[in-house]
Amino acid sequence: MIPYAELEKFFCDLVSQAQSRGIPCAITSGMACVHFGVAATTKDCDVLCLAEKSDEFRALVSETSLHGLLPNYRGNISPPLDARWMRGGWTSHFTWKTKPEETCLDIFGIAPRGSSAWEQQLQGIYARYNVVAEMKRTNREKDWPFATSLGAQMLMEGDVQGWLHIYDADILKQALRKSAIPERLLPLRPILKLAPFDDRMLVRRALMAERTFWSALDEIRVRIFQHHLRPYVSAVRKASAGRRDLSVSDSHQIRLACAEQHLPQLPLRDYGLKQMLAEARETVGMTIAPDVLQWLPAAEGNFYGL
Amino acid sequence: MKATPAAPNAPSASDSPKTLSPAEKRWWRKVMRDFHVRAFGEELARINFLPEKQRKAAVAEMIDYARSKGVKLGKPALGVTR
Repeated sequence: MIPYAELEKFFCDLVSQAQSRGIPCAITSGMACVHFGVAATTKDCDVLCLAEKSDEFRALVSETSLHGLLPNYRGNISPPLDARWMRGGWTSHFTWKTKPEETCLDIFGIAPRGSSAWEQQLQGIYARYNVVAEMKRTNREKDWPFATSLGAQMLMEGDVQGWLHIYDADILKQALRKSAIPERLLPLRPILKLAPFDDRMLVRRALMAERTFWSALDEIRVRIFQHHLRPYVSAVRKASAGRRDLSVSDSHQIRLACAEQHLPQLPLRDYGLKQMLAEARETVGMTIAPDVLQWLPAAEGNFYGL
Repeated sequence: MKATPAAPNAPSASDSPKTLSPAEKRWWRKVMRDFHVRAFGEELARINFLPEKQRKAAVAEMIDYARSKGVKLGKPALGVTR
């Protein structure tokens, strides 16, 4: 088993080397949370890479060995690491077939739910709190305390953007004792209009509505991508003749040909961003109650780069 | 590169980080410590508030122990990352 500390160093070195080659990229998600003081039990790595630099980053990954092993694309399911698909929100997946567990790397071109340019919010080799916190608005319950912790960390460091990431009623109320909410954040997060957050039941219902909204939006996003992946996976399997040990370069050519046939480049845009938002709001109305809809964020700005 | 619309959440110049006093930092630390205990449990809260070097070593130890006992910490291959 490769110790976690070695895996972490391996990924840090990879991103560091990419940055030194002029490739804007950053570690995000779990490994970034560990760095920021919110322990996550992850051993794999998620990296943001500027879509336009996909070819350069793929070249670097393909030549980077771990314990003498070069990477492969992960299974038949990974889309190609190519700017055309990365721009549309696809993620690309690589694996080093280490024993007893494989070591995996997921690459994003666009930060899901991002509302600003992630490449302008780097802290060394890591994406900053704001980016990681937005990416943590998933449909996994366990992710919400991470977002809250990162938001509070921002406030603690005097960054008022942290108000956009706190999903805990008690922390909202307490934070107000030390940090004022800037007026300009209110349209972005209507729930902040409930300050001083004295009506606990209303605040909790509104927070639940927000979490349900982001969760539903994430679910829709995943469903759209998975719908398109089904025929693609079959095509890659057939074209690869079952071989999972193809080099990144060989497999990439196969994946490109299959993606051109089966993967739309902008599936979320094709589906309709407004449609996604409307469906997520509808979920909130049905599962909680229509009166909480007024506290939901517009979220139209949370498709940055798509 | 494709032009992207203005980002409403982009940090504003008027929101330049304010420096907190030591007392304010202590207050925040206490509030966050309580939250971490509530959200993640005593042990993770303890780890999260260690100095960086010790914190990363403790996380590594915890992860490696879980892996040595057969806990699968890898992500399933779904083709989409959350």
